[in-house]
Amino acid sequence: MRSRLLRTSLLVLASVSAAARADYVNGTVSLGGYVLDAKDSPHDDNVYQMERINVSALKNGVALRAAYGYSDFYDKRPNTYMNSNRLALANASYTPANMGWLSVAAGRDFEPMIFRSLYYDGGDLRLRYNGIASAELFGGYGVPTVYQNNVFDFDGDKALIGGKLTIAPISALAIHLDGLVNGSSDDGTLGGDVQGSLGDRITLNASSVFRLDSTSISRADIAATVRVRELDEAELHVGMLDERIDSTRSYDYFVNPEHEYLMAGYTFVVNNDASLGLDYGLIQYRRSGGQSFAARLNVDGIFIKVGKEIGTIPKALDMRVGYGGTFQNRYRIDVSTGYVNYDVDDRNTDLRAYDLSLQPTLLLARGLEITAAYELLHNRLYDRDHRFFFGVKENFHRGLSK
Amino acid sequence: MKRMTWSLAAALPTLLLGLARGEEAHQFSHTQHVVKEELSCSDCHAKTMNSTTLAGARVGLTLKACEKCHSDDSAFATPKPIVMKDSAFRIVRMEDPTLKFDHKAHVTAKVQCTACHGQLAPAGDSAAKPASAVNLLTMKNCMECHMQKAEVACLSCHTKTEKPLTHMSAVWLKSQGHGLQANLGKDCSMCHDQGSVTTCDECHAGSDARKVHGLNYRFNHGPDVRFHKMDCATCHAPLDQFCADCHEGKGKAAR
Repeated sequence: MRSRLLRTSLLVLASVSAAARADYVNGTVSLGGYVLDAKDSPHDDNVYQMERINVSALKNGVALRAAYGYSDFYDKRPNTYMNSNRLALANASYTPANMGWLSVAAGRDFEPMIFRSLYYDGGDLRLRYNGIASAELFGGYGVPTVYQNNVFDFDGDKALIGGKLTIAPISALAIHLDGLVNGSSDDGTLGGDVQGSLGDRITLNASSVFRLDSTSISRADIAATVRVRELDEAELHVGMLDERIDSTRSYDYFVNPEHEYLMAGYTFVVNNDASLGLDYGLIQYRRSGGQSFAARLNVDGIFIKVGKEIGTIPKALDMRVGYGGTFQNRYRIDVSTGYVNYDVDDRNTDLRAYDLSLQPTLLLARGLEITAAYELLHNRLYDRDHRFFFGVKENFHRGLSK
Repeated sequence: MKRMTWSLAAALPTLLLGLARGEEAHQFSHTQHVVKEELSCSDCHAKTMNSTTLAGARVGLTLKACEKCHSDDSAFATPKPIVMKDSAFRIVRMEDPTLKFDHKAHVTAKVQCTACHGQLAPAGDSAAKPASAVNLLTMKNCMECHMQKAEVACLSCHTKTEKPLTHMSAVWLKSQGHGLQANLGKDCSMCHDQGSVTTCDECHAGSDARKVHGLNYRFNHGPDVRFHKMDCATCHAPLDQFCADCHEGKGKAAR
């Protein structure tokens, strides 16, 4: 607890210090806490704290960025997300004056790639050429997720090196290539992605991932997006996924099977405040398959979504209704409720879950807001799980004239 | 399906090889024209400076503009206008149909050409400089000035419904929630709050009341993993490690 407070204080101090001297600052500080009261468990008087701090600052070509998140109740309650106590970003980058084609960065960074995204502690060199091409080389040590140290002996083998190349020779074509070698036992993974447009209405995209250890393609996807009317969009995906992991893992049933899929969707846009989307999916495993259907309706802040997944197990019926709106530029209300009927194994269990959340927010001043939330969950662990959240959030910006 | 994916993989290097064959770059000396002949930018680029669209900027320099001085120059009588053959004038970003740019407004606001395009003909530089040295702009270049001197609004430069070319990446396309809101809701601020670029972590590190999935998603995500694994992998790849966070040693029905 003490070390966390120290780290948080240092981060805030460094952020404020950097922000005070910077030409441009952008950031968010969010503090809050949950109070829990589940009917089926002993009453809990604790307040479970949450923190989130994001700051980026720019001065004379030097950019600093930090992101930190903390929640202290993931290991006390089973049905919460586990990404707690993470210094996600802490890096500095430099672009020399009159050398916009070059930038270097060092620290903890986030790298989105074609086949995965990752965090690492290390350095990054990026070169750009006239908006036509860019190349990036990065390397360092991977940052484990919460349990990776225990599960994968992450500390023993985590050095990584990777690179990315983007070429956009004409305005209608862009090619992305990237590669990563993650640890000394990894032979590496290559990703390729090609996008092109035909006229101003059709976008085509093809991507694939090749794993050098298994010398096989683990992912391939071809997609087309067509703008049928001014705003209406039709989308089609065809592809395959074959994430070959260690077959001794207990969850290989969900992760391992190779499969092919087809997904199609159409979004009708009536006007700026109303749209209707329809989605269809077809998936084929070696010995099983299924279909999915979904409808999405958005009307002036109200949204309704109904999804149905049928075929061999699992199956599900998923419904969600909600509303989000701001009044008088000062008050915001978010309401959402959902019901799911699902079956995930071969024991023909018919499980039901529902939830309700009500979250009013008051905008106290520009960028400063306080919020509270009531959440009710019913699931296979708790008959009625009540949660109350309260928090304050400050968004701050400087250096922009807006 | 296997054949299709192998074909796809094989197509990538082929495409790259094809694109590597660029056109021959012609030598054009801004130093010769600006320093030695003392021409101003508007002598050749008048149409560009009066243009209010990117398309207008593209046709700002034609053979006729050159022929004002070179009409009797036999060496200049090439079948096609030199500048239109010059690969350096394939201004990739500036041709982007998803971008708007008003040269006239910038000229009226007394923004010097060199503020954006740099010194194409530095004083004392007598060497003929290839036109490929034309300084093209990135969004960062624009923002450096706009953050100080002008309004910053996404739709000032980006057209309403089209996403920039750089957003056509597979990751972005598959981030349905983000892509739909940006594209249909014409709201870029989710990731580009007042011109800054937000990484995933700036919103999704740690937890707050903002939920990406439904409150009971821990219990009912199984069907989604089975039916929409590609969507999961958009944010949670590689899935083997992500799933292991909860399931390793506990089984698929970890409680």
